Amino acid sequence: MSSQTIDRDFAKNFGISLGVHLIFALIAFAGGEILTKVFPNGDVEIIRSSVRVDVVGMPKFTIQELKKMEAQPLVEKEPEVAKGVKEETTPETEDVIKKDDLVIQEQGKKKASFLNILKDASSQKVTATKVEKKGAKTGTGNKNLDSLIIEGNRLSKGSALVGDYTDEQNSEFSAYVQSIPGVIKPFWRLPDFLLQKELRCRIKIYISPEGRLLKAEINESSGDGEFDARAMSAVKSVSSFPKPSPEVGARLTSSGIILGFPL
Amino acid sequence: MKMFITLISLVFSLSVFAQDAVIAVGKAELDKDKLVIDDSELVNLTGDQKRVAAELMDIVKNDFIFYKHKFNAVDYSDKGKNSFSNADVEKWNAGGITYFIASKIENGPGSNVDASFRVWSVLTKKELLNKKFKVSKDSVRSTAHQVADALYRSITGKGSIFNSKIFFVSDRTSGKDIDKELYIMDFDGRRVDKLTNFNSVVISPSISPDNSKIMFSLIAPKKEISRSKVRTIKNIDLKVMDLRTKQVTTVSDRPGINSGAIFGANSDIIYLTLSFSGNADIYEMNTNSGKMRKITSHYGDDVDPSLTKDGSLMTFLSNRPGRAHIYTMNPSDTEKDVKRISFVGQFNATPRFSPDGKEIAFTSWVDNGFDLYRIGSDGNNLVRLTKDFGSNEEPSYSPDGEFIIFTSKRIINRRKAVQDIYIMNREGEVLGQLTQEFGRCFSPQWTN
Repeated sequence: MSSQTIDRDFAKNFGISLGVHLIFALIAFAGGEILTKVFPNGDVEIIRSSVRVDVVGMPKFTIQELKKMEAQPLVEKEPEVAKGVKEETTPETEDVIKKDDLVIQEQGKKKASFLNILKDASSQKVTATKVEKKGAKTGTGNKNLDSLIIEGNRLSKGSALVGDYTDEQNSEFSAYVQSIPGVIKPFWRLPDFLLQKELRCRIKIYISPEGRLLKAEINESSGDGEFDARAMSAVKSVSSFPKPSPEVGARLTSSGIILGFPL
Repeated sequence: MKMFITLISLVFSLSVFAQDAVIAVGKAELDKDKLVIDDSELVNLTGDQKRVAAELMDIVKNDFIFYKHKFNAVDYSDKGKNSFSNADVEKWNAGGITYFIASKIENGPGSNVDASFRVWSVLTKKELLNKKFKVSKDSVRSTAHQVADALYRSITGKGSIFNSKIFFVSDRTSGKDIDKELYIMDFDGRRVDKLTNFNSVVISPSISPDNSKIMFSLIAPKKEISRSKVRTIKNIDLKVMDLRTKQVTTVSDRPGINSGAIFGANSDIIYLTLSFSGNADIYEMNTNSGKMRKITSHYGDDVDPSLTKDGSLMTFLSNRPGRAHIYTMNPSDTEKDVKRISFVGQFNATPRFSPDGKEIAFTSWVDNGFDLYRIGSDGNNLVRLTKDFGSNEEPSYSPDGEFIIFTSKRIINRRKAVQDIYIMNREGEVLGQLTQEFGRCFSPQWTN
């Protein structure tokens, strides 16, 4: 075979290879864009918000201090709640929810503390402890440490370093759904034996534009009836969800959202 | 080809549709159980027996207070109305009670009594326990702990800390020379007993998995012959005490440090720090054959090992990154799967595994003292446990992993400092002080 033929064959094969590679690259880059154009909305929902955590030193606050912080904002309301006596008084919390409260932490804090006060009120008769005589510290702690760990050590929402996250409506939707766990958490309680089983269930909920729960259904069962029932009861115990904006409300009513207990 | 393209685009579109957002609600909070320990029914008791009965019930109730993160001891309006003989689960249920404990204490020989206990799970309306205990005047305390453990076990299905013991070192009896001897006490700080009388310094005790042996290092005088002169030097030797016979044997008396030894999952195997080669490394030693195996091999110093129950994971302290940091590794081979898990803190020390091996409690120097922290064995979930509570060191987990004991040092003045043992639950809620005016206490170690 002459060297000319080899050169020609090489040029030809190189050309084909280049072409094929270019087509692959084009599909890779443009494919996603085209697909999102072809299927603009659908049920697609990608919640993108990045959290950046820089560990720069040992934690400053102890678990007990973090618990107290969680409990603090509602302390002044104690007298009024103490009269309320039963948990059925939860509708009062409606007053607490304002339109601006669509931030997870604040929402969580208020409700959690409200419940803590109820708990404090109901456990006032607890018998005096001998251990305390030895100089024990009284902890406020009704909250489980694990919940604090899951919530994180007060991380704030970061800003994405990359990406094209500019869709305002999406970000509004994402902020709304992220505020939901904070509303449910105060009612999400399990006895020790269920906590240790490490089960998981998922519940799909539909919320009306006024923030009312329209429907809740088990999307994925944990296999344990009591666990499912307690998760469902936590959802149903929320008297009213934060009021969504009209656009977000429409999506919530039509497609609903899935809640994971715990994930 | 057409079909192929359709298939590809279908796969693409499906994968996009599949991304249905799931919002994690997070882990549930613990719903504390409402527990009633009702007053006992007393049947024909003498004055002495009444005192025994009262002491028994006081200790049982006090034991349950340690688990206040699990149980809300609630008051019961119909107290002492013979709930042992007339159980009324419906009424208790209406009162929101989840567990009810009733007891009947009857006349026994001398000042002894027979104490019967019944436990109900009110929600499921099931009787969980009905058991009689013989209580003698001399052993009320230990029987009460056994009773409390049986009650706790019937409710939770798991063992409690009530029968557990704590070993520690104290300089209580030291005169001019500072001596430190080994002591043992109940989990609640009562019934303290002295175990050694070396008139020397005992350090870092460690208990065997079956609680039958305790190993410790002893600073012992040793005769050394150099240039045909005999002189006495001090060496740190490793000793083991059989807790039944109280007999002490020497495990290692090599020159240099023989300290920080712990038992492996099999108590014939121990892990210890040896520095005879020049720098400190962790070794595995078979106490029967004396055979040694090097576990860490690094120019940095590796000290203070702690092992999971099954012996599959070891945590230790190393200055290989420049500062003392916590590492984990698989001790089955030299330098196997070494992983650094602490990255912050000026000086970290005494990493100790929880019984399930999922977390490590350790101490870290902050500002001008040590404080306790807890971190997952995978390096996640670093949390702080103590603050503004003196200088806190040497954590040790309870056998059920629910509590941590530690030493806390308070400076009284320039010449005096006190150091005592405290107990807290694993959420850092300090429950109380276990030693008081008992010299300076060191290295508390919980039985398994």
